[in-house]
Amino acid sequence: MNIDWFTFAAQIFNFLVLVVLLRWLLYEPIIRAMEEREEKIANRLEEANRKREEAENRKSEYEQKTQEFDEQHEQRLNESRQEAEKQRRQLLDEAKQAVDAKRDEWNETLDREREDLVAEIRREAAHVGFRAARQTLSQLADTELEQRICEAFAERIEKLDKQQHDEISQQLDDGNTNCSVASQFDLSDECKERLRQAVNGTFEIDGDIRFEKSDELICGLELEIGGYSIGWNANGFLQDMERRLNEKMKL
Amino acid sequence: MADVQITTDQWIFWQSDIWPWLQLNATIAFTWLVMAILSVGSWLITRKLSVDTEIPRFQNVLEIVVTGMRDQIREVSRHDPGKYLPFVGTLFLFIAMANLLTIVPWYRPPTGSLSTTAALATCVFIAVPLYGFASQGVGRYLKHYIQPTPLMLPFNIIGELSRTLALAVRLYGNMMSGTVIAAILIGFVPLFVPVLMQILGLLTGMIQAYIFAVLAMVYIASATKVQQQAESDDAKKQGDPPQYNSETEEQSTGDNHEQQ
Repeated sequence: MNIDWFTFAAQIFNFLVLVVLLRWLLYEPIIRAMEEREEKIANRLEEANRKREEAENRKSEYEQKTQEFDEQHEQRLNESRQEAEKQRRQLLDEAKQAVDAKRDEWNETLDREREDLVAEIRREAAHVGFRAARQTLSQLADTELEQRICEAFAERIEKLDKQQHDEISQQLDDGNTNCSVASQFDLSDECKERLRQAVNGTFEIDGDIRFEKSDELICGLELEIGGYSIGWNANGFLQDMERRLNEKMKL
Repeated sequence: MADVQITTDQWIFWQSDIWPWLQLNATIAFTWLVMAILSVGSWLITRKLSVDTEIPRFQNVLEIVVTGMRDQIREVSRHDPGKYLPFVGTLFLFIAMANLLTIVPWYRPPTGSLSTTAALATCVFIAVPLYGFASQGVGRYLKHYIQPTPLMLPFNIIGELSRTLALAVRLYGNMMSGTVIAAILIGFVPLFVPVLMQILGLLTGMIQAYIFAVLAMVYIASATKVQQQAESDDAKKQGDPPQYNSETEEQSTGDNHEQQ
């Protein structure tokens, strides 16, 4: 239990030397290395975080772009659909118009042809009717159709109602003495005489009666006197027939 | 048994003729050996340190040792371990290495000499007020010797001296007894039993190294307690949770270690 004071002093010195040596050789380098490594790891973590953030940013950017692209795609698709629908309607309208125009044209042509046909039928019917009537009359009454027409016309002139007679007489008195008879067929002398007799017996005229031929009068006669016109023909019957014929054809 | 030296101080390799007190005894020689092993080993490992994530095995061992010491110091002092590590860490490493080498034949631990343990305790005795001066200033540090009353001054001084004596004698007693017991047992039962005692001696040596270093740190921490308490008071005023009280810790740790 005794202390050797030289050893005691030497050990204090030794210990202080060891403190300095270990501080220089052990603690400082080791701590520095650990701090450097920690810093390095921290930097790497920071770098990794930065890269992850960057990646996330890029990801969201791409997602946004994809979404925009989808929206644009959808928009263009809608525009195309609308355009196609518009064109379809336009084409349909044009086709409808073309069909309408064609139908109108057809209708017009049809009307025209029908009118032509009706006119033809009318002419033919008048002709046939006229001939049939003539034959019937000649066979039954031993009379010419023209003769019979003249007779009927003369009777009509003679039996003109008073008002009409007065008006025509008034015109004749005023100097309008032109008097003519138009017929579709050639009048026989007998007929002419009968008509002269009827006119002269009814009205007082100065000159002779002028006889004319007119194709428009179908199977009839017409007297122009004092600006008035008195007629008898088969036009009325024929018009009635034409009306019925038209109705039938429209059905 | 006659040639068993009680203390390595008396195992003299060389002595000066002019000054008989100048001698190279086993204590100093084995201390140099321990210093050489520690220094050269550290140099060999730290001359090529890696700062990558993959490090050499020996560097890893050193980092574990240094990190463990730093954590212990931080736990006891609640301060940054930077300025305490060289002193406290070297105390631990030196005592631990000196005790570990007892497995080598013919080796005698320098810590088994009262001169060595007294020298180390004296270093602590001097370091404590130095750290106190550095952290509080000379006036404030010296003031706590006369607290709570100037009447306590002799008791405080006796306390400082007695704990230094306790440090020295505790380490010396433990290490010397191990050596002596081993020597005695070799005389009675030369086989197997000395091996068990050797293993026990290694365990005791490591524990003693730890106790010495931790006590040194506790004494140093208590020297800076005034400042810590002031900081703690400030923290309490600001509503922070109460800080670590080094005085309580010193007493409890000291008592525990005294029992060992």
